This record gives sequence, structure tokens and C-alpha cells, in this order.
Amino acid sequence: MSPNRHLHAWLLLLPAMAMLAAFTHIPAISTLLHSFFESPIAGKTGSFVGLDNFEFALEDDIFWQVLWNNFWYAVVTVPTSIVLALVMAIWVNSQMSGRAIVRLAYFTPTVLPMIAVANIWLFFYTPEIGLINNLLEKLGFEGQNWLGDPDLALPSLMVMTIWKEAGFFMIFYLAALQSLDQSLYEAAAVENSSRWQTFRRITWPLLMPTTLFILINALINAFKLVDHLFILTKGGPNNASNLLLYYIYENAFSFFDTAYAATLTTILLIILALLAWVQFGVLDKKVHYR
Amino acid sequence: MGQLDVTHLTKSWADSTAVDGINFSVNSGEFVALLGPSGCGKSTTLRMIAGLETPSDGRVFLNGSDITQTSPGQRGLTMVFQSYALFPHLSVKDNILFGLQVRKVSPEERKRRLSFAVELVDLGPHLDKKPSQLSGGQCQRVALARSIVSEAPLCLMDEPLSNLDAKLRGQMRTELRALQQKLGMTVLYVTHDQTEAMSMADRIILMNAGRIEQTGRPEELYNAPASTFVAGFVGSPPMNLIGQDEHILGIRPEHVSLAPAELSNSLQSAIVVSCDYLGADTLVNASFNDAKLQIRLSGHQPISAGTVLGISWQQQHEHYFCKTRQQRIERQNNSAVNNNHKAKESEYAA
Repeated sequence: MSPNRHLHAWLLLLPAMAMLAAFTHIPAISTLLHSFFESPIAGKTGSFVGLDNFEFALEDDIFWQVLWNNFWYAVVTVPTSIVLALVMAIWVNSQMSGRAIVRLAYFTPTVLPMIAVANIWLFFYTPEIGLINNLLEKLGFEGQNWLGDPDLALPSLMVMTIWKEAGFFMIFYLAALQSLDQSLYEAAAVENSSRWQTFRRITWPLLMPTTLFILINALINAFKLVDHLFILTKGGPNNASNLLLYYIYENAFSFFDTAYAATLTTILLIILALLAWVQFGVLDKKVHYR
Repeated sequence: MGQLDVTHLTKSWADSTAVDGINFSVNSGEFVALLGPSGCGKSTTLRMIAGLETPSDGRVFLNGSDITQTSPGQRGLTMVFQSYALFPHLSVKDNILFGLQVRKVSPEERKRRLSFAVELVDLGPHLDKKPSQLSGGQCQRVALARSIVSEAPLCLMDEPLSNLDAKLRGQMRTELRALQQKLGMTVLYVTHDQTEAMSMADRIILMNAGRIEQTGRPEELYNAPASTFVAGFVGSPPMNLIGQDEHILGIRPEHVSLAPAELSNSLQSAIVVSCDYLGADTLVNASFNDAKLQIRLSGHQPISAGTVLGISWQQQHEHYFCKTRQQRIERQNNSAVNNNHKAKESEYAA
């Protein structure tokens, strides 16, 4: 290639590279560097402390609690919303009247911003005047302090997350289902394949690439979504519903311990990188792509 | 009563009718082609027999029992699809065995049928490959093998060769026919390609606009087309149809011959418009009494446009159709048709 063409190529790459560097790569590297220093005090750079911040994290009970919360949050919300999304997609993909309205209804939660969703669910969950408690009392059950009880706060958040995420994933499944060749189903029908056999042996394997895609997105979202915590629980009570990213936010902007926030961010990045590696490196090989 | 009997089968939607009350039967071991142009209702007919479409009216009987309301899998038939409908995530072997697995056929029986079918269609080295690694012809063989292992009494085929290239299609035609005869399969074969129907079928059902135009052996359709539609559909190129005073005269391009030059004055003449050289023969497009006439001449015969040709044909090759109903008129020993053309021909013969 001539030098001119090289220059041309680099010039074309430059805008994207500049944006990526400014907003992704440089912050990531600087976060990593910050995690090896003390927090700056009064404008003076903190001194180099090596892995002290990481050692502190290992001994930090709240960090472990938050990580554990995040683990459960992901383990419960991700598979549940994927299964729900698939069931809804198969249902609204069938020939029934009014399916456009049902599709729209399922998709609505996705269109709403998380802050709005959290406000709606705040109205559902509020102890005295909340919708859920009102309903429960009408049916003769005792109302609960959904967001105030340490045992109920995190599950309450999970329910809301599933409600919001399932509709979003449904759209991906719906698109995938509609791209499947109908003659495969006719061939299966002629072979006397039952509905369940057809689903298990044809639909599910052919949807695997979509499932993998959704899985990646859902897991990343499980670590990324914190907007609702600002409205609903602020991580409480007693960190019962706190998640990793919200804890990072607290450290950086409430406790002004930026070094520790940088350390936790580094840990979060490592977790996400590991997840991505497992999904793309390991699972990908077992998935059939057409 | 045949193995498959179709009575008054109809499929209509609110404003259109795809299949209009057709009746036919297929006998055991017979290869029947359902032939017709696109949109004539042949595929809809096949899909109704398979149970993939619900008929608006009529009945389908297989081996004497009414299967009109039976689900596709319970009908005891198998189907080869135009797109092959192979499961892309399953290996060739699993594709072939899919039906046997869901029907819970015993593993030994599966193994026996698999090796039998694989040998027939010559797929031995490809059993563990995925369909995406196969050529079109090999995919076609997998689809065939899937039908063979089912050992169903009736095999439906929906334009199975239309996705193959011309050379492979010709080869598969021969193989398919040989396979059908070897196994004694009963086949109902949908196609729009009259060459396929003519070369493979024991019997052809020619459909047009949801109705059956003619049913018969290939040579019957060729030698005695029941209507102008059949005449214009069967044969390549199809029969020349020339409107005359009372009738429509049909004459096949291969039955028109050039008269010796010295006799040309006394004969009918046609003016050459163009010539298509096809290798073994040459197709001459000519104008005859203001009508189009195609003439098939053997070998390479470049005739320049504008040339006046003296032409003739034997009387036995003439076909006559009613002008209003477009139906065939059977001749009764020269008496039915009487026009000056015939007089001229006999003059030439003398």
C-alpha cells in the first residue's frame, strides 16, 4: 500500500478512534492507575500504595455483600426474564387476533426510562398507599414494607427489573422467530413431531444465537443498571439492596474516596471482561450459527 | 379406488378460488405428476393432501380411509419440500432420522432404515456433515432419504428439483425415477416443468386455474391434447395454434417440414422472422397467414429473415380445437374438417 493510502485509512479511522480513546480507553487506564494510589486530598495527588486498595476491598464486608447482592440479582433476573421473553415471543408470534396490541403492551416497559419505571413501582411498593398492599388488604392479606424490609428489598427490585427487561428481550426473540423458515415447521409436522418436540429439537437450537446475545446483554445490564436504586432504596436498608455500581457511585461521590471507587471499578471491569470471555470464547463454540 | 383418492377438493378464500372442486386418484406404485403453470393451484392441492392447508370443501382418502381432518403427522405420508426443509443445526444423519426419533422407532430399526436409505441415495461419506456443508444436489438427497426412511405409503413432492441447476436436475430426474421404481413408491409430484412431468411420470394431471385440464399418460397429453391450454403447455416449444374460420388448427413445430423448392409454389408458405439455433436443431420463428408459426428443423439451418418457405405437414398431425370452448374436436376420417389447406396438402402428396 502506498503511504498516501495509509494516511487515508488512518484519517478515516481517526474520528472513531478519538471518541473511543477519549471516553473508553483513557478513562479505563486512568481508573486502573488511580486504583494504585491514595485518594487525592485538597488537590494534591495521593501517594502510590500498590495493591493496598485491593486488600482493603477484600476485607470490606460491604463490598462482599454488594457483590453477593449483584450475583443474586443477575442469577435471578437474567434467566427469568429470558424465559419470560421467550414465552411471550412465542405467544405473540402465533396467529391470534389482537397480537399487535399484546406485542405493544409487552414492549411498553422497555420504552420507559428506568427512572420513570422506578417511580411507577415506587407507587406500587409504598407501604401505606401502595397499589400492591392495597390489593393484598382487599384480599385479606397483610401488607408488607416491600422496600424497607431487608429480606424483601432486593427481591422487589428483581421483580421490577424482570418486568422491564423481559419485553425488551422478547423483541429479539420475536425477530428471530420470524426469520425461521416456516417449511422446517411443516416438515416437522409431517413427521408427526409434537409441539414440545418441535420446540426442543428445532426452535430452541435455532434460537441459540439469539439467546446468547440476550444473555450477554442481560448480564451486562445486571451490573450496569442502577438508576432505580436512586429512586427506590438508595441501596438500603443496611445495604440489603445495594449493587456494585451503586456502591462505586457512593464511594466516589458521597464518600469522596475516589481511589477506592477506582479500585472497585477495576474489579467490575474484570468481572465483565470475564463474563464476555466465557460467553464469546466458550459458549459461542457450542452455538449453531446459520 | 386408488391408494389416494381426492374428491371435489376445493380451496377458496374470500375473493379467490385456488382449487376448484378437483377429483383424481393415484394408484399404488404410480408416479403421478401434478403439472401446471404457477398459480394454478397444484401446490395448494398438494398441501391440502399433506394436511398443511385446510380444504374449503372435498375429501381426501388414503388407502380408503378419510384423512381430510387428520393432522399431517398422522396421515401416513411423507413430503419433500422445494426448499428441502432440512434442519440447519442437525447433521445429515439426524436430519434423516428426525421423523423416526420423534415417532419413537426402535434404535435397531432406525439403524437398518438409515443404512438402507443412505446407500440408495449415496450419502455415505456425508452423514456427520451439516446441511450448510452440502451442495444443492446433496441436500436434495438428504430430503429424499428422509422420505425413504419413513416408509410411508405415499410420498408427496413439491417441486423438489426446481432449486437445482439444469444439469443436476436432469441427472436427479433419472435417479428419482429409478428410485421410485426400485422401491415401488407411490409418488405425487408437483411441478411446473413439463419436461420433468413428461420424463418421470406414469400419469400427468395437468391443472389450470384451479381445475384439471387433462389427465393421462405423457404421450396422451402430447398426442391428443384435450384443449388449447394443454396444447400450448405440453411440448417444447409448444404446439402452434392457428386461428381459422371455424376452428383452431394445432400443429407441433416438429411436425412441420420444409417442402422441396420446386414444389413451393403449390404449397402453403411462411415468412421467416428469426432463427434460434439450439444445437441439435434449429427453431424457426415464422409468420404464417398473419399468425405466428414455429418450425423445428434438425441440425444447423440458418435461414435469413424474410425468406419465404414452402411448408407442409401430414394430416395425421393436425389437431383441431373449438373456437369458443377451446376444446379438442375429434376428427372422423377427414370428414370433420374441410378447408382449402387440406386440398393443397393432398395435391402435394399426389
